[in-house]
Amino acid sequence: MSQEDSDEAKKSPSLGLPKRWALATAVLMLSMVASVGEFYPFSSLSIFDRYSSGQSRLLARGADGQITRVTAFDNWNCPRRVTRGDIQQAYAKVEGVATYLDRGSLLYIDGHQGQPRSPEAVELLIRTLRFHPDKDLPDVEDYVLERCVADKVGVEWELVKIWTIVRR
Amino acid sequence: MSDTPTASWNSTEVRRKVLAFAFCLDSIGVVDIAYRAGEARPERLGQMDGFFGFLAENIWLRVLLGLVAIGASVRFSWKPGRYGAALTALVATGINYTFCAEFTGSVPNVLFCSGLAMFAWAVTFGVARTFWPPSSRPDDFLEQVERLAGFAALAAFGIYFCKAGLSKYFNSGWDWADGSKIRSLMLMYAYPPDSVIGSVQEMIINSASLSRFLATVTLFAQLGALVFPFTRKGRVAVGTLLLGFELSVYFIAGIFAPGNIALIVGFTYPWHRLGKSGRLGDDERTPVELPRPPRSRVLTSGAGLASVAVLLWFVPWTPVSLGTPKDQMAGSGMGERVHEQQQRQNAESMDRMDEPSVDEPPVPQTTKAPVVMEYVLDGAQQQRVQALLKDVGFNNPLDGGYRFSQIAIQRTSIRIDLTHPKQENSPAGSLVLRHVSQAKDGQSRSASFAFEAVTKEKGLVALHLDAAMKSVIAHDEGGYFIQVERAPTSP
Repeated sequence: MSQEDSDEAKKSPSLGLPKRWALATAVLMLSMVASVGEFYPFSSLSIFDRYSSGQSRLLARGADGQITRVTAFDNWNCPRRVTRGDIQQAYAKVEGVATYLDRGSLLYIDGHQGQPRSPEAVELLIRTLRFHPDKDLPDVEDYVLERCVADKVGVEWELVKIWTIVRR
Repeated sequence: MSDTPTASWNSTEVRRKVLAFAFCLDSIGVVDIAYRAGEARPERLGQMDGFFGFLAENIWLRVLLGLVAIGASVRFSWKPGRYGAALTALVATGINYTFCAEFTGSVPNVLFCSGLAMFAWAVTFGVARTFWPPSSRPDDFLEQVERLAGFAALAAFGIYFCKAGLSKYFNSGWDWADGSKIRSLMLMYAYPPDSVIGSVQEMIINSASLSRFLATVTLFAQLGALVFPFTRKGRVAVGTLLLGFELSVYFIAGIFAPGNIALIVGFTYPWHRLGKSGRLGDDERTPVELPRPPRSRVLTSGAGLASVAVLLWFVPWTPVSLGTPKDQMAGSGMGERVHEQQQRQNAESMDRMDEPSVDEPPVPQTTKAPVVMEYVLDGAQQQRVQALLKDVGFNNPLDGGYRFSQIAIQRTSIRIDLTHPKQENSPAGSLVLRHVSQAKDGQSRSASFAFEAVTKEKGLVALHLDAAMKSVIAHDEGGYFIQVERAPTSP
């Protein structure tokens, strides 16, 4: 390369060949990521991109009014079996946001049916916390699915304290 | 020929090694999922045919692919210009990644950023070799092209995060940054509030301004990742925010993206300064001075790349789809889309579960009674109820030795008992608080409660109950009840 060319290169704006190449690569990659979909090493990258104003969760309320996970009770005895359809109906009723975590709760109840030894009244409910951008505390809405009786095991309720946060 | 720094570490070399390391981490993540796929969804074994069916039957082959990917990545890291090794690593990991997607139905898309950057690196070498025939290549051709590849990798890295930000913007608008989404995610991945992370979650959930701030920073950091190849200060600023974002996603939501974290740390900060030659290792400002490539080659290669990029928009199928058109692939990817997909899968299994089995009698259909709304009390507000008795005091000795010693928060009412030390077990009187909507004509009430004084005695007891009632009226802050729909009564 001649001295003149070299001087010209020094005077040129900062967007040299590496940055121009980076720009071209960025355009190419964006186009491919957006068009290809899910094909390694590309992906649609739709990670948590849907707005939601709140969250719903299948929980249990004991006779003392305390909100717990359903796993805090054993030997569930309900007037009828609570199904996925009931949960979907409850979601629709409160315009709640579904979570796959409720599937585990329902499976637990199904797997822990029985005759309670010291029956305690338990409400199976969908609690929905709905947030507002201008309010610190969310709106709380409960939809009672079923009233059952069960034995209180009393474990893990701390893990759902966060769901009762607005009442603390 | 350019003045390539003869440093012990130069920034491009560090970038190549960081990229290879991050790729190894992601490959390990992918092979881990591939290895456990059979455990996660045993019902899929035997359902797949063709090459992926063969992979499903042979777990060792998946592990072997992982080892090939890691080996090729290490080889790529060793010397400049080994883009064949990069492509080998990409293909091996790509097969395992596609297998995971086909087998489990979800895409581990926090594990591909390093693959995208490595792809950009390899494409740069492929394009450079096409642009410059061997006869026109300078002696330091590989080093110069590698500097271009380093910038290409930064661009691909930036696009990874920027696209995530664009998806948020195009699917939710600026509303995404109002904080509600972040607060909802906290609920989804709730930790015990007594733990450090739980306390942080609690703080975020309880603060509209903090959650909005965090969401806004997240959105702008992701969109701002585009600056990575262009400004160093911007890279450090945005990279630091992205690092905070990735770490908080890990600690708060439990989503671990080791490759992304390694890339952010490695690409953001000037690690080459740790080498013996310190700042001399900075080759980022060293101009790339390659001879002008033949025009025909530039046009041919450019047109080829552009054609591929445009054509991909019109291909209705992608390999990782099990025959699902692209626009219906809502179930691929992390986050809510993955949850939707999982829910669909769960729905299938629940449907199967709901089907009456041989051992289980059919569930009788019930007719639901009309809904009735009622007000119930949350039990976790003992302190608030005690505060209602501020003027008379809780467990505070009153005239005649009486005291309000018991508060029972029941489902729809609160009972406050007035007791005497001589008859602790038998209250002298009680004040019952129900929702104000249940107040009858002439019944005392406050903003939230209807009062009922229960006592057979008059005189001091009635006076104390009356004083308690006045205290409740004075300190009633509201918000004690939650409106719920009464459970359907079973027939």
